[in-house]
Amino acid sequence: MTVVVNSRKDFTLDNFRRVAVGGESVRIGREGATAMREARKAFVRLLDSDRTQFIYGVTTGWGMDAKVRLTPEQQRARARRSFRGGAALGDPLPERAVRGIVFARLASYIEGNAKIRPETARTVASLLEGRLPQIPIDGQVWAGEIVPLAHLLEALPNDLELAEGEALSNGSPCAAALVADVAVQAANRLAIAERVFVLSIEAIQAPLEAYDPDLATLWGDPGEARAIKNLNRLLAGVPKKGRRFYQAPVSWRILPRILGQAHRAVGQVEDVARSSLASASDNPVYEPPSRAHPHGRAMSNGGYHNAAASPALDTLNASWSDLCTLADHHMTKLKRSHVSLLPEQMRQDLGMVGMAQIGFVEEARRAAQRTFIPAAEGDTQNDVAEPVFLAYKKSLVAAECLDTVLAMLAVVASQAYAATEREAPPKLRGFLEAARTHCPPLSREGRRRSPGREIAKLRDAFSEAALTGNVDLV
Amino acid sequence: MTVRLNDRTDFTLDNARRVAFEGEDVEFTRAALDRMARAHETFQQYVDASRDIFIYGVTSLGGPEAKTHRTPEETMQLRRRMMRNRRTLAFSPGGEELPEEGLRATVFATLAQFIEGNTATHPRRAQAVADLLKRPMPSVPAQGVTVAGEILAMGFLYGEVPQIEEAGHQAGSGNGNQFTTGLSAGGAVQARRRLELAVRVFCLSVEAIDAPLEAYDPAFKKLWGDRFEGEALDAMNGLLRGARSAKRREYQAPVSWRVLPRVLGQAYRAVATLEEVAETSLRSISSNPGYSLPDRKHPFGHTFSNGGYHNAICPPALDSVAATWVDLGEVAHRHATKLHKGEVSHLPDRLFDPSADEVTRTSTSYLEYVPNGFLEEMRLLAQPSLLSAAEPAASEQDDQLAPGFLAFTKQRRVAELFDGIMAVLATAASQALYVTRRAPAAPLRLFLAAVRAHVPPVTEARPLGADVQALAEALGEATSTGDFSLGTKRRGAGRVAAR
Repeated sequence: MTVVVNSRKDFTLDNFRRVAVGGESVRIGREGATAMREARKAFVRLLDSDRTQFIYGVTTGWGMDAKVRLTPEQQRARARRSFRGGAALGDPLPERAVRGIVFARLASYIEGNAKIRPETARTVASLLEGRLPQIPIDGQVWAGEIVPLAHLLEALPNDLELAEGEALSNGSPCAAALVADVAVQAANRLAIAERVFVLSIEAIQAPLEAYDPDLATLWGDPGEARAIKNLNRLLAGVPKKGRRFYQAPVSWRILPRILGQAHRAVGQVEDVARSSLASASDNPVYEPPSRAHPHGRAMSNGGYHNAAASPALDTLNASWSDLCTLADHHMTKLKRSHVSLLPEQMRQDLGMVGMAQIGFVEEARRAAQRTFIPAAEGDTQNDVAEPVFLAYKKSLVAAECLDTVLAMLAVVASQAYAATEREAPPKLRGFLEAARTHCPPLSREGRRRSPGREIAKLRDAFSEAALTGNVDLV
Repeated sequence: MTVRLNDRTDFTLDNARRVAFEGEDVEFTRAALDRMARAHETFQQYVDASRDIFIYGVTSLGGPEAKTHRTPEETMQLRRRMMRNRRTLAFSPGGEELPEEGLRATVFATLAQFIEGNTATHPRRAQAVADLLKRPMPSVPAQGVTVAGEILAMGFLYGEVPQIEEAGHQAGSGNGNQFTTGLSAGGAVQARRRLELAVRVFCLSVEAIDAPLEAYDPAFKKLWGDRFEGEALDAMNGLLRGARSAKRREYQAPVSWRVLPRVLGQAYRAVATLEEVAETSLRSISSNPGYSLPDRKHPFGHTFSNGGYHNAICPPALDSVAATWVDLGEVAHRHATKLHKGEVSHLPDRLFDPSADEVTRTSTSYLEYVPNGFLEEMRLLAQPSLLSAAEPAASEQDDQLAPGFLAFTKQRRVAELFDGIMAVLATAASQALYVTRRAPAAPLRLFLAAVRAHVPPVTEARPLGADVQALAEALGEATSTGDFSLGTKRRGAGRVAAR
């Protein structure tokens, strides 16, 4: 399948998912190609109308050289120059993220705002059909995204025309793609978390009143209402009688609140991803002709700095960290008989399981630390760096920690069912069965097994499900 | 003025502002008092009919004692004995105190728990709590009160509220998350004003460096497609209306000026989120247990033990606002530094008046050092208020903490430091305009006059610290009063025209 793009409206989260995760290619539609061609012609007219006007990177130098005006000959001579040859290093971005960057790159082009030719846009889109260059994850923090995009440009043939070079390496497509990469997985990851926590609710037989649907109205928050609805859907059919007769520990009762905030954080990441993917973020951005501006306008601006992506990722990372913390508390309490009213240490069968999570919880807390605008300045003109690669790197860690800790909680809850010869909630029996294919219930006799490796497999299954949406592990 | 309270829809952020910052009183409507009385009465019947079931705090005591079932009479007797010393829960050794306006907002938020009968609170008890707003708030420490829920802080705030002996049973009227809610509501009111002031200061800076205006063109609203960046662009264009468009700096200003609409846009997003969650929380019934009023299925209503006392939406919103002050502070520091750097700003180097004597001349030079320490402290403080990884107490039942107090105090300190940075930038921008004999766009002139009423342009050597501190305090005060003349109207200096 191929995603056809004709305008910025086509740069949706769903199309992003198809291209980045699903491996589909992109075709520039006829309407888009026409818009680019017309805009390009109008831009050349604007440029020819006055070769001394300030158009950043076209009639002037770049960055610190913005103050240097170029003669028409110099302007033509540097037309073919672009920033290629990346200087960053470190582990590579996941390939899906690089595919996402290529997709997001096209948004600034499709309505002519980057003043490039449709042929150049097609060349960029064709990167999705071959072997993509690797973009390192470290060393990518500078004003705008010129450093990571230089790695991408290594794969492009150098047949650029006037003003196209800087249009390839300006803007904020990386921020858009990285926040979108997290966004397309976040709701799935949260759905898995809700399933595991419901297993835990039923494992301790928590009174259901803490999840009463009336709370949605009493609290009045849409995120919490969603969490309450999901919890009740997953709890449908569980025994109402014979449950724990007094309230469960706080970490069970506050679940709808903590999950509600996670829904809010997921929603914010999705919102930011949507608007970032569809934005024209180049500098200068070209506004095609209008009555007020018959040649159109090339406006110098700061669109290359996406200020919304990192805070949204940070807030989500904090939510993942909080869910890790709750899962840790659940594991500890499930094993303590006088709190959970379950057999002590689940009849001693768990061994080391439930003792390995603390490191992951701490790592998630570190990954949840804020990503500020860097204090380091760069140079006096390019004096504010965009930190989205830092926030994204932490997102990868926070997500992996959450998947790991959830896998551990799922195994401990699974053990509670085995030890008490009870079944999981009807809606989660398939989920538990699938989890047990990776890590069956433990017994003292079976201690020679290596549950760590089994938990890692379950963690990988969760991570995979976050990408594919197969959250019931069917 | 008095805020009339009839039901939960009256618990708006604007009413919270009136009560918290304007010192207004509240009054329950007759309908509200009758509703509370009916709910209280029905709840007594519910308790009588449900003696054998678990009702937290009614057929059990609280916290670790919840597992022991008791008769309602036993519980009431034990609670009465515990409450004989009414400040029995005031354990904290003290320290930083929560602000008066935050406590008034907390009392206001508590009344939402009562107004529709969801805690079965006797109307006389509700009135006694409301009457707290008629006098100065008691001291409540900000530290040492972090616990599951907010019960320790409530011991300080409500310790002196008379118990209604004949009031019978109530459902959790001392539980809930009113502190987090009230403090966040107060924080939201101030954050909006702080942001509006920051936009003014940044626009002064745009004018000071004569930045090309195209970076703030309204066309970016559509090109970027983000609502909050749109709000930032609107606010900036409103303040820069009429600014000279010709003969400005001939090439683009440094990045820190060009990214302003995007960084401010994120601040608008953070503030709007805080306002939204604060208002949602003000209207929310967060008590444990909560009491649902009678319906067909439950003729006497029913209670549910729950985790409502843990407000999970306000702390992250406060954290995001704190983080946005850090980012704006960082950008502001870049501005203050660049304004003093002639080769970048194209202004007189270090903002010396070119007409002044070269030996005796003076300026705001070196003031740009001041934000460095502020920013480092802000970056440390603006870390997220995560759930506690620790097992917080001997009772393994109360195993998670409410992070609201922590989030509030951190944001408050970060905001205070941010005001200091804003004062520095406003001073530098004022000086830049002074030494180049320019006036800013018309909508900024009164604000510039207000800045100069606190920190006049530097024309001869004088210690600047006290002036800049006065300006920082005036900016902070304006977030409480909404007086963007920074007190100059009050002092009759508001008509001072900018040069």
